[in-house]
Amino acid sequence: MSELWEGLRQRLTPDTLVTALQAALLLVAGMVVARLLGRAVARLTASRLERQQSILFRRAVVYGTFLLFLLAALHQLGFNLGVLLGAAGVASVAIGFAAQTSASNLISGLFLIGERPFAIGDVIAVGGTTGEVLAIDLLSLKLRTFDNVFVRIPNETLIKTEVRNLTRFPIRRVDLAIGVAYKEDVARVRAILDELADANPLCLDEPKPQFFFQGFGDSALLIQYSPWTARENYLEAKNSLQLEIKRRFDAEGIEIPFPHVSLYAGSETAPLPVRVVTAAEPPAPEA
Amino acid sequence: MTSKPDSGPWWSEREVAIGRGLRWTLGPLDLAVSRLEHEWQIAYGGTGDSDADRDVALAEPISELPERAEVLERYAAGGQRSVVRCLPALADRSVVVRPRVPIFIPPGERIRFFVSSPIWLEIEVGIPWQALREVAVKRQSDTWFGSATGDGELAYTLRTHARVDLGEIPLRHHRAITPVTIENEGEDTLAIDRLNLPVPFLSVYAAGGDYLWTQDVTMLRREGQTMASFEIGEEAPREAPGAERLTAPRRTAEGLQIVRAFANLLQGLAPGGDG
Repeated sequence: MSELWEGLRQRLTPDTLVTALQAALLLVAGMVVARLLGRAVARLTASRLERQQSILFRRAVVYGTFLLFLLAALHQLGFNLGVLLGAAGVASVAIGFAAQTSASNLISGLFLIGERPFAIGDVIAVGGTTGEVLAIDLLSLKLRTFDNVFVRIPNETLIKTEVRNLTRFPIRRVDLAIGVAYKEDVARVRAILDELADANPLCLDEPKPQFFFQGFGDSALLIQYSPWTARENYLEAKNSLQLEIKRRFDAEGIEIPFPHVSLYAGSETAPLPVRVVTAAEPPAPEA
Repeated sequence: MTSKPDSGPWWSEREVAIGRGLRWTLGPLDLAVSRLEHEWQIAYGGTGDSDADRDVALAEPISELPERAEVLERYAAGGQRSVVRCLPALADRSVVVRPRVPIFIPPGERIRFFVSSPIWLEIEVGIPWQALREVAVKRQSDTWFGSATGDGELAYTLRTHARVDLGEIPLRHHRAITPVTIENEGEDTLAIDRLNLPVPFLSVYAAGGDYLWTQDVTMLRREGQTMASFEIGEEAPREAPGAERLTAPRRTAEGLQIVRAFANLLQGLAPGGDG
């Protein structure tokens, strides 16, 4: 123990103390310069880049500057940087294998930030998840769903799968699937739908609502009626229109059928026997 | 049909005592405000009148708010503010004017017609004036004005007869009349199926009979363009002599402005036209 202490004391000459002090000063200066540069970059890029890109750029400048000062400090202390960098290269291969997923997410994140398919505040749908974008980070995307659940989606997933941005354009089409009975006059149904969309202030006058006769369903004529609305009114327009359609169809006597089944016993068979049972006459127990 | 002459026009300011209120009936809108100890209450809704566009403009004192209003809101206000006024304003977005019958303007021709658009009301209490609420006299239908569903702007729809003779226009107190002049300096016929009228740039004036006006709007279409340069008159149009300005525009335009004024679809399409 005393040998170790002796060794240390021999090394702690005024010269080494000065060198250590210089290295420490370099580190402190590095921190200050990095922070100042970061602030300047943030101010410069704030108006030119999106918030997410600006944050990323600032981080790169801060960490890069600090790394340079750290290397200079290590050099000051007498470390051989060539050896250090070589070791770092070997280490990075090892880390690369170990942290393959993180690296993949990181690179995907850089692509996402560059491509800008959505911004903070947009509402997007990824797989079965729909929500508002809270943050686009290097490794993952943070969403808040409409039932207030926090969802983290790895950037790699976003690069690989379909992402739907619901708020990119100012207007949206509201697709309403409507079924009416076979006896109804489709032209009259269409006229009523047009009238309802025209009277609803949330439905856009232009582009005109679209009408698709989808075909002959099992129990109804299948119609898709698609008016347009401002994106912020999407749900309100959809709700109010469906309510109005139901009310109006009821008033006009237009039947919205539910699936029904016709029993057919074949032409050769006798009709199915049907017996009406009243409350006063309980059915006889089966034999 | 207008408000009582002794109390001034419906937009003039009125003193309201605590526990009292004021009720405006303007065309299809029924609006009431009531002053309480530390708050103002605003209630509004449709009049339920079958003739939604009948001409009526009334301001009358009330002792309590109507029982069944579609919207009821409370606004905190100190006891100092005892005056209320309700100023006419224009819509907060452009209005897409759709003439009931398309208008065609051959090259070198010009047309001047009148468009009357439903106003909005700005409820303010004072003094000093504090804006509380804006209410549209009639909620106009939204529409999209642009060349594609991803490029354009949201606006309100306004169907109009685009009458060229002022005498034929049914004057109504809850609408403001804008004279629109369109000049076609292109080489082909210009079809006006839809016209984008940027009303947020216009002021509201009051003239004889308490009817409301805006400045003249002149649109100049040059060759092969769907964009038009538009110019807004300095003051009320010549049809409204001695008009007094009531409300400033929401947005200010300096000099000549360019807007996307005509829809792309019918650009240059005319009966017998080849373009």
